[in-house]
Amino acid sequence: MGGEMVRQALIVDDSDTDQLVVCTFLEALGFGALSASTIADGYELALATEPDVIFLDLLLSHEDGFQFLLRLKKMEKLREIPIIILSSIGDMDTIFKSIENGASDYLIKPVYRETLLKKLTGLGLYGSKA
Amino acid sequence: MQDFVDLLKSNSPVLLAIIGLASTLGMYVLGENKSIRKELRKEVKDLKQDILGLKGELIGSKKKYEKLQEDHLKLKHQYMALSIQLDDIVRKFVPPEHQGQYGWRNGETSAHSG
Repeated sequence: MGGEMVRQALIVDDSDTDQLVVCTFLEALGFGALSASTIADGYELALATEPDVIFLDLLLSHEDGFQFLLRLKKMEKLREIPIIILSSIGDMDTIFKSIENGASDYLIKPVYRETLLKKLTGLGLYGSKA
Repeated sequence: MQDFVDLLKSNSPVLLAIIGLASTLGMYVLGENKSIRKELRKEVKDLKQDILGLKGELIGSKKKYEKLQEDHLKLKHQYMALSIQLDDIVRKFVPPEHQGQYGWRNGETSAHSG
């Protein structure tokens, strides 16, 4: 009672810089942020912490973030967690495919604070809807 | 009973008329009954056909509705994807002082939320 619950975010991205940028923005917004560089680590952290939101890079080195998205959406325990795709790919087909397969939103890199805020607000994870 | 037998034996024209009338009436009733049954059977058959037709229409409508729902979802996703692209273009190419008209102030609005 009394203490505000901190929302948890998980960032799955193999770029240290992007991880740092997103984590910093999220922490400034009052989120707890965890990060993983591989799908395996991301999967483990997702299962262990059941975060409020997952930021997922599509182009992980030697790994396909899209397959991870499909896998998460098939898991009963994790399928309700909103997933925001983080990607430098901004073409219509990729964005559409991601949303069709369960992504809640899509963030085209580079990540700006306002963009991140807007996505979180849109999903009801920040601001008046939260 | 004896009176009736006597009456039959008398060959009375009245009796013959009564018997003839009764027989005609009987035939008529039987015939009517048969034609009513025939009509009813036809009506039942027609109703069955109507029900089958309606059932077919219902299935067709249900399929159309499901297809519309699918199309609606697909359009919604396309709209979301386009909004995301538009947001990115605005963010990158529109001067900050004009971004407000595209919903880019304080993260208050999102073109693809909801």
